Amino acid sequence: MAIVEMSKLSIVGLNTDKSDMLSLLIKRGLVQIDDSAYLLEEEEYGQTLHRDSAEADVIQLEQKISLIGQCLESIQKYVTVKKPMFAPKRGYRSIESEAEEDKIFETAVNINMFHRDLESAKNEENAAIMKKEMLLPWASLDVELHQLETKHSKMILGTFPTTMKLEHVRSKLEEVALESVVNVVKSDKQFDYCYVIAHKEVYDNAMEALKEFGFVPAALPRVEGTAQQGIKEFEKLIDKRKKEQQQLQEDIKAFADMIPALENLYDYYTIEKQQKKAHEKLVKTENTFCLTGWVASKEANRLTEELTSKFNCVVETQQGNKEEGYPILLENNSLVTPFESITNMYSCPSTKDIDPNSIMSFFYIVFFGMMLSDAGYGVVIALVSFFIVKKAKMKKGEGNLFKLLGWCGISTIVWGCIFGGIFGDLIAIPTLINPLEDVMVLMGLSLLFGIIHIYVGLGIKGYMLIRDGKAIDALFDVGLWYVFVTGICLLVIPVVAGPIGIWSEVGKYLSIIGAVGLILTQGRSFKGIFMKGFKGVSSLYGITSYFADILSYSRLMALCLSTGVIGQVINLLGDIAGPIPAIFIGVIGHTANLLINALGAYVHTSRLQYVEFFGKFFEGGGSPFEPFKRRTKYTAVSSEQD
Amino acid sequence: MEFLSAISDGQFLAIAGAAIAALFAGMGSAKGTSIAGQAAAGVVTEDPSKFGQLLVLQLLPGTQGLYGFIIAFLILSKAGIIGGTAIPTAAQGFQLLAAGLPIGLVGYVSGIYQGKAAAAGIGIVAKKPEELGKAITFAAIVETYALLGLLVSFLAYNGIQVG
Repeated sequence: MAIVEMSKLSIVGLNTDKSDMLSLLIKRGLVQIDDSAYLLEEEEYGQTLHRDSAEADVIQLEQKISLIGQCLESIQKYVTVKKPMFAPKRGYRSIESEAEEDKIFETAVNINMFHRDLESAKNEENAAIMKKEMLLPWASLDVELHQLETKHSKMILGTFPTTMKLEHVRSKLEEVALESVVNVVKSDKQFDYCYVIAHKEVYDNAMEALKEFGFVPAALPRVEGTAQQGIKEFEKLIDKRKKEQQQLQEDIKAFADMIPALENLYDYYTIEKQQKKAHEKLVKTENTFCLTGWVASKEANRLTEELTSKFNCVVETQQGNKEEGYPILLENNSLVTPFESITNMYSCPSTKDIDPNSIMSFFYIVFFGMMLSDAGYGVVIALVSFFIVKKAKMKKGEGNLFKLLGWCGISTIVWGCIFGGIFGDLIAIPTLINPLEDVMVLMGLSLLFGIIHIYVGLGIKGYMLIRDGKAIDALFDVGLWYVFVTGICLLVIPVVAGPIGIWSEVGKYLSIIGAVGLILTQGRSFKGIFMKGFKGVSSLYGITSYFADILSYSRLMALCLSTGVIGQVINLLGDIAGPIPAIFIGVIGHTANLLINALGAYVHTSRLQYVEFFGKFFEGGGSPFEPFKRRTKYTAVSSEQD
Repeated sequence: MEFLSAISDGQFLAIAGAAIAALFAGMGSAKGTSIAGQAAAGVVTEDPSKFGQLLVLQLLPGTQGLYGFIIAFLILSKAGIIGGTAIPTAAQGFQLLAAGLPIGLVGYVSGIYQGKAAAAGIGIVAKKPEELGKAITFAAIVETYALLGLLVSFLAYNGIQVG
């Protein structure tokens, strides 16, 4: 419901207590630690203060974390852990003894070693496969490859492109090197695999001639014996490496039950690292350190008591000042909390704002439902979302998207019933408003919601002005606009929707009062009667922006139509295609329609909040409260637990 | 003469209106999603994990095509081409043709420009993934005008009495 009040916290303690105190603070998770470096600049402390740091520890922990990360990655490659979808995270367990830590860490080192061996076995296997493939074309050549030379002749293996006619080669060889033979061993699409034997005296001549014909000497692996023997050799090697790999994979798989312990250790090191990293924000003297930060005012006393009773230290808290600002922590009930993320996406409220989330979430739910407007889709969204929330045991502040969608889904069901849409027109139910026929009603409803939404926004602005003791501004800048906009609306309605009796008279007077009031007051901050008058009159132009805002809510109608019509088209296509294809068309079509229109509803509902609603009163620009607490990757940790 | 009577046939004009709505809006979306898709593909080569976020941005300029399709469908059903029996007169055919214009033309232009805004938004997400909401909002502002085009087309369509 509100922005939580914060107190500035400063702690001065002994360096010997530092680690214990940080570990207590991170467990409580109540404090945001600020960078205390600004104290170094202050003259009165002279040269006694220094920046604190524990860089060496941080680096060491980072190395350990990355080692365990690698280890988990390599186990998960070979072990498929059967984990139910959306299962809640395991609870975090602090590691008490060094022996326990060392034992798990050693396991990780071992697993990494197995994994390295596995990788190298794989590389060797690949190398052997490649060498075997090099030999394959020469399999039918019955010559020992390590002995291609006799006393007087020399033999060489190589390839010609198939485009080269061998007769040309032979006739050329007859000219330059008569004592030579060239023969084909094997041909494929690209190459003729040949051997050439030449007398040593003409060997060089032969080679030169062959080069002209595109002869490329074959690159062959070192082999004792014939190519056939070599291939067998490599096949044996490949087999051996494969078996090694299997063995190593089995070895790694045997560690499957260590995964929870490894994940826990990963998180343990992560938390340790957070604590060491926090040192960088502290300043120290020879024997003491100083920590500055923020704590929620209502928690301040309890925390001070706990710290002073456990440690030798001085704790000071000072109520934060709204003008200077403090980190923003929002406190809302469990329905509204998920919607904080929508507001934060726009901007975190500042201390001068009031927390808009409870009002915003109401409109968000209503608008989302109206845009998606299909009871069938609503049921699907609500069921899926709440199922996931339930299954994963998401606590307050977790799974915000699913909770938000769940509430919006319920609203979609209600609106779907009003508009008579269940999976398009699949199931006919009596409708209150038919979007395709009662067009003016739907349009009127959309714009009415717009007016209400904008008036509420203006109302909040008025409230903020009165709260800050600017009641006159509230009257002039908010009250008069209420009068003027209402008056103009009453004047416009008869033009488009038929007479409304006495109300058009009321509208006329309201518009006149509003307009005159605005002309007289809107130039009040300017000097000189001319400027005051000019600014007053020109402010009336602002009515266009109010109308643009109100008309913008016609998107409620447009998106509502879009879902309904596409749903009907899908059903129609199904009808044409016959009963069995209809099931496929229905499932795929409605899923696509649901996804694309839910995205549309999310985008456009957010826009209505950001542009039309927040634009009226919201300042934003606050920085969110970031408590020093345990942030883990694999396990769940609660703030009460040690 | 036969040609003249063919092009002043009510059903032909209605089909032309539906064609304009589906054709241009669809072209706009195709171009828009392609612009955004190219930008997204560039980011994914560096960081494949952003695929999901970027898909949302690529999808945004895709809605114009849907809006055009909706109007096209409604016009076709009113003109007795899908279901229904009422055949429009030449004058009604021209009216249905005119009703198809707003979403067709606005859809074409806004689809392309929304694609450009989405591509710029993809630039935001590439560097600051947490600012996805802002990137979406920028692109969504462009869509307002496509929605207004859809509404005008629909209101016009709704006012035309056939038969």
